[in-house]
Amino acid sequence: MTCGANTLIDAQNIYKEFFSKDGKKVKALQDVNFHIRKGEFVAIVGPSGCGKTTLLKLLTGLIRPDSGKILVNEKSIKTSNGRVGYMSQADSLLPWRTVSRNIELGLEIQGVPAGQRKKKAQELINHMGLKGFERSYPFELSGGMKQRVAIMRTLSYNPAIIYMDEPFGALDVQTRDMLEDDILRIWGETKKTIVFVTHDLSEAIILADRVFLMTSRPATIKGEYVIDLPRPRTTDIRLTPEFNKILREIWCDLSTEVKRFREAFDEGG
Amino acid sequence: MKAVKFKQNIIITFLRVMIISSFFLGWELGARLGKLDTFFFSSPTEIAIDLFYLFSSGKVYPHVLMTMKEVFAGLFLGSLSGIFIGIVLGKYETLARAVDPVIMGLYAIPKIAIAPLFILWFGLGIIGKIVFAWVVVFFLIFFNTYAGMRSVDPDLIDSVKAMGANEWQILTKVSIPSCVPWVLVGLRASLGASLVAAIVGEFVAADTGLGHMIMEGLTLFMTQRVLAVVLLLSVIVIAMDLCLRMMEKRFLKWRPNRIS
Repeated sequence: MTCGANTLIDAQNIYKEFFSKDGKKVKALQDVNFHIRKGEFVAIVGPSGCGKTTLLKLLTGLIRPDSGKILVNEKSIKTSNGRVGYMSQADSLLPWRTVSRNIELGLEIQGVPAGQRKKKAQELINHMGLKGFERSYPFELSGGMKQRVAIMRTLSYNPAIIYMDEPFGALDVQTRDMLEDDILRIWGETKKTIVFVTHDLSEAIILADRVFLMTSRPATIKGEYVIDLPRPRTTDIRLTPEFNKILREIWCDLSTEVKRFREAFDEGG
Repeated sequence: MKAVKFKQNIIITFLRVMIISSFFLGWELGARLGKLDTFFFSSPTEIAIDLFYLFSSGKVYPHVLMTMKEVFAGLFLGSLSGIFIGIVLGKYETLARAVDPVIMGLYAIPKIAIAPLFILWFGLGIIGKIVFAWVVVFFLIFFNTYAGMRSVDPDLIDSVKAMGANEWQILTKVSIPSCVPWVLVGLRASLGASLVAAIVGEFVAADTGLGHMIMEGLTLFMTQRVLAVVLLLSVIVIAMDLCLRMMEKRFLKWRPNRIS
């Protein structure tokens, strides 16, 4: 496999297994190979429970593969000190911290002085339209606002890569659209590398440059689709015929996969 | 809405006053009419007179002071050590499992049963009572802190790890703050337990303290004295509980609908 000069993330033959509660060995991921370029927006789509979260945790360095290699900037990631952005489905804000203190968290960990931290947090709050909520606690915010704070917290310490694990999965459609537009705008402004995991194919197509299709048991990347829809995008792109053409194409592949999986499941069970 | 609530509050307050005053009134009447033997049960007026005497003569203050010293020293030492050991064992699971039989074994001992031993080991003075209260409080705080450490949200730890946090930062920024509500629950249980420990310690052997006063009252057949001290103890517990509630308000303002 050739590796372009601007490859940022390089996953080689990743294999990961788990032991289920009754002691059975479960292959979570097998033969996972891909490259992600610097500044690219990649979405990973797959059915629930197919190992997407496991893959993301491997990429962030929170867990290690049983075999295979993950290189970031041609260096293997050691333990979990990657200093990357990571957003999970739960907002994972610290409930005892106010909005601005939550946003400052990443900078605090890096030892940035308090004055600078506060300034940076305030900038982000103003920019993301959460003015007036600086001193609110997470329980006082709506789900969408919490995820906005989580986005700001990730942006505050300026990581090169942001990993997102179904960050908008629990939100209603309107809020979701709004946050997807936020992400598109932020990506346009900052040109960060974003790896976005979702089970929602349309969301993946709206956001990404490339979509990886994952299959389950053992999970691997089955297909890869380049989304050549024009940039800058907004969520309105889902109304265009080009969008629908791509959606239909990937959908067909996905449903064959689901059918195949189901048949295998029926025969086996 | 507010008017309805206000009206409800008035009714509740009225009922409370009725219940309490009819209890005391019944007691007093029973005593006056000779239905209750005041030798065994005293009467509210007798108790009130004795309380007034205890305070006006200044006789009670050294006893209150002694018991409070024991209670607060026990609370302080028990909390500090309980929180510390709880955090350490919560952090190092292997160590926790290694010392688990020791801790459970010690915990299983009924503390009251070994109160005399503490007097034997630490003498008749204040030290024995403090150490006894310390031990009682330690277990309550330790178990709560440990449970808190075990139930830290792994998602929070993951997100902070991804930011590059080291072990110490994870501990101070995530694990310890998320134990605070647990520690406060332990502290609430400890207030009463610490007082019980101090009083029991004084029952065993002491020359000062509210527990000693109760024993003294009993040997002199002064039921009113015993009950006056008991009343004083309830007031002390209520006052300490109010202080703790204020602390909870301060520390848990980040939580929705605090259960009080």
